[in-house]
Amino acid sequence: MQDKIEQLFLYFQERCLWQFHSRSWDREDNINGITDDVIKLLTGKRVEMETPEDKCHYADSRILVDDLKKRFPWILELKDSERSAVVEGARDKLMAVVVTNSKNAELNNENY
Amino acid sequence: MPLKLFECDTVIPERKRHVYIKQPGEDTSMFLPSANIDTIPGSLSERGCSYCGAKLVIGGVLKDTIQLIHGPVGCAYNTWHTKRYPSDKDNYQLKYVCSTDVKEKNVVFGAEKLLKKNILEAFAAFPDYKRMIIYTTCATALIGDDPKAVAKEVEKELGDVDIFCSQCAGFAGVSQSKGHHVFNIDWMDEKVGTFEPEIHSDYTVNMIGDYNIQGDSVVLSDYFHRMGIQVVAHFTGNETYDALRSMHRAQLNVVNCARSAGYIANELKKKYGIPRLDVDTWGFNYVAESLRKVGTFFGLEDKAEQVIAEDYAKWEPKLKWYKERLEGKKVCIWTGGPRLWHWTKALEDDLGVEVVAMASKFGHQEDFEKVIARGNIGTIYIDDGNELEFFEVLKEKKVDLIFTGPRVGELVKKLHIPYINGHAYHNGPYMGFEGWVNCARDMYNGINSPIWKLAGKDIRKGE
Amino acid sequence: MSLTIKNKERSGVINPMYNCQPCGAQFVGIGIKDCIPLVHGGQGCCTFVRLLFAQHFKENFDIASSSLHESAAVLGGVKNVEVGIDTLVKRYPDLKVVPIITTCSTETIGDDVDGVARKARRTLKEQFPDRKVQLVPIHTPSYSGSHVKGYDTGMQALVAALAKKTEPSEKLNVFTGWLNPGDVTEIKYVLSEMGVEGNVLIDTESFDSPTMPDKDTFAYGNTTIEDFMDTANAVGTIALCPYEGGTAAQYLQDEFEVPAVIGPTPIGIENTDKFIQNISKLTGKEVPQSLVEERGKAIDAIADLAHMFFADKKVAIYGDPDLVIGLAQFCLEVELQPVLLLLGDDNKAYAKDPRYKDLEEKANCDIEVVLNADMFELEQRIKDKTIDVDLILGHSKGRYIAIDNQIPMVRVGFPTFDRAGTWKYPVIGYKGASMLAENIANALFADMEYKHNKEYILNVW
Repeated sequence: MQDKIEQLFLYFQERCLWQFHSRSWDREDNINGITDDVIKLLTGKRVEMETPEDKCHYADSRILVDDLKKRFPWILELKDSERSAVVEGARDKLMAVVVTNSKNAELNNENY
Repeated sequence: MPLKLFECDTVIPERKRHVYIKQPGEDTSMFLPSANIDTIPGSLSERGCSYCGAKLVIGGVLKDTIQLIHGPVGCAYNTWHTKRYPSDKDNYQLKYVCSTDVKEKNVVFGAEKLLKKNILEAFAAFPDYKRMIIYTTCATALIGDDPKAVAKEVEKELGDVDIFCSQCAGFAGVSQSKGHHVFNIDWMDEKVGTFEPEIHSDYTVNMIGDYNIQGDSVVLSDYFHRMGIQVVAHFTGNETYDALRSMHRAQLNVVNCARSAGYIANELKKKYGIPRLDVDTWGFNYVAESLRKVGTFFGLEDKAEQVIAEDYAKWEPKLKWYKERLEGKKVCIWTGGPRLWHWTKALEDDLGVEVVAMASKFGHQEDFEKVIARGNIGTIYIDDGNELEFFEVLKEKKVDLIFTGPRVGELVKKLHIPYINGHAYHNGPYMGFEGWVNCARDMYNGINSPIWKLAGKDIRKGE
Repeated sequence: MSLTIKNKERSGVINPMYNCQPCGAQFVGIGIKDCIPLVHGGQGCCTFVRLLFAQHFKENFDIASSSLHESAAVLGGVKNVEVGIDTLVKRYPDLKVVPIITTCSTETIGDDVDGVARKARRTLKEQFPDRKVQLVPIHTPSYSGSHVKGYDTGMQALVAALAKKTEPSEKLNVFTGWLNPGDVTEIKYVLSEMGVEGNVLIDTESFDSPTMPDKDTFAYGNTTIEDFMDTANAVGTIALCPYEGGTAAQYLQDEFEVPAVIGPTPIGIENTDKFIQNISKLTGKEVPQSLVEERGKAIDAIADLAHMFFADKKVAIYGDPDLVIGLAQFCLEVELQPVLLLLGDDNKAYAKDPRYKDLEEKANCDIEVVLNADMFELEQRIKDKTIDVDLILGHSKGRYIAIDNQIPMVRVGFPTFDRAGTWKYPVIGYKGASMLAENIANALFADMEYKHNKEYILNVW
């Protein structure tokens, strides 16, 4: 499992610009919003699309999920709960690296 | 030792925090180079000033706007004829620049009267142009001129003109980056929302952070057009002043250069709730992904797939031809900042090369988070690099090609290494599918030029 | 015919013809060996000038910035100069001279650059007793004059700081002014034919640097500190460009009694004649047969072109003052009509230049001189049809006027970034005269062909 989480984490790091928005709150919103959608899409649940922001997260996660399935075929072999767990694991690591423990000194400036 | 002190920097050891070599298992919460901090005087930094960040990079791209530089003549002279961003308005923005030509007496007695006279003269010289940006510079910032008050006065007098003041002296900040910032925020505060655009599609975007270098914006606009999406404002490639005042009317902000224009995307999100979608516009795989995301946002997935299919059919065979021949070549990217992370994987995945060293002039730590996440183990990452450091990199790494500016390009030529203009391109555009083929072609032609073999031959040795 | 001098009427500049002062001082600096100028101001003041030099010469030149940031701009930036010098000296072991070039910002805040240089000299002496690094402050506020004055000020500051009377020498100082490496080659050729040992400042010939098999050559300036020191011992100084180097020549005369001949700029036959005769006068050497032949070759080339192709053609000329006036004089020699001359800053001396009288006497056309001019001044006249020109002589910053109005243009001066290799060839001397004539002819020929304007004439020329 840990190995799978690491694979996803590295893939997210390499591929996804949304985790690197300028401020920590934007990063958190994106990371939570998009990984939530990714889990929903991977587990056959409906994705909320009420706000423009929701739609934007959906656009990111939709393309991401298509790619994940291609690059990491093992995902398809997991149970729904395992799929959730592996994405959550990667999300937690993302959050730790680019938000909580980030060395980026600008991350919590109040103004953009 | 992931942070690295170059030999040439032993006398300026503070340079160590600006240089990083990625090791297995490391991420940016462990090591992240310092960036966007004070330049070391005399280090032969490659950085420009913040005035140029505002004028040369962003404001000066607008095709219908008089550029008036309030300061001594050099600030205008040096930011004119130094960029390759054409427009469909007869390249007005490349051809003309105005300077208030501030002289000693103005520095002593103030230059506001002079400024007013200049604004009127410039509008008179270009009667078809009703939009203007005034830039303050070091001298006029120091004497404390109030260009905004003068601009207001003229707007009132003339009635049909609109003026924006970019107040960002050259010494502000530590590099051109500060100029991007000030321009973004002030434009947002003062101009966005003051003009209502004509909306003719159900799908609208702002394309943010693309400056039409050798026609990039034209390529991107074509994709949007084929998908039935209206670009309300292109920030700022091939764009008009009023379109940038209309940015509040788009449904989505598509952001390419997050360094020079992420600020306005953030502000638009905060104030108008317009979401920000960051994309990569260079590279085959990336561009396809970007179009798919935009398509998905609007429910135009089919349209996106159609554009991608058409362009893949047209350009992919050409790209493959170059990829086969570029495979395994080692390259450096020594540019401003964002192109490091935009390009490193695109070059590697699409063209099979390896990026061995990257240097950024004005990137922030955010840019280094991105590039280190995307870049290779063993690759050297440098903030605010300088010539002696570059020489050391080239001693350590065997390099086949360097993306950098023309001046550094002249330097590496002596070392028999070809360069590609990483700022303004050799023969672009480089964005989009066709653009990446252009880039591949230029790389291939650079690396395979017969001249390098001839350069290495010493006729005294009778080889 | 008449020559009228007027000032540009607009108060501002649209499309500048000249750069600001620090650029001129930087050009002097890159011409010196083991020298890295330190520009005290915002980073753009040096970064863009470096780019400009790279555009023109297709070479890299090292220039450092004191990287003045906001806090320094408010509280003073002398510390930046200190750190800058320290960094440069420590990282470049061969460094021998650092011109410290001020800008608008640091002159406005009033940084005591001379004081900091004095202090730094003491520190360097303690830290590096075995090294001698000259620190030469050059005051070039960007709001005064232009790159022309910046060059003149830079030369003057360096000569004043470094010239030293020791043993009298047989050498002749030649101050080039802002000319190209190709011109320096020509100067050296003339001197060598005359049998005169020259002290050519600044010597930019080495800007044409090769790409070598062992990858060890970079472009550099070739003027040494010794060359500057030795200027005080010379038999005389010829300053080829009165506005760019004239002050330094005058200084040597006043201070060290080195006779100065300031001008004329040896563009065209007569001006070159004067240059050679001046060399002869100052050194007592006779003019050799070879230069008479060289002169004859130029006459020979021009005679083929002048009355056939050049006569009555109207020319607009812009650029550095000495270049423009010299080119106008040359035009009159070859039957071209220099109807419009544009000089681009507010130097009051331009209006009193003695060479206008010569132009007026010789001209068969009315000549208009516009001072403090910009490129828009030229463009407007062409667009309004207040003048009708057949040819433009000037640098690349005016390229769109030629392109958009389909007027043939020969690139002369600095910068010429839109033509390959122009800087390698002279405009001065007899060789320069024939090259100018031939370049002009070829530009006119290409235009005739492009416009199908009696191009058949050339079938049998």
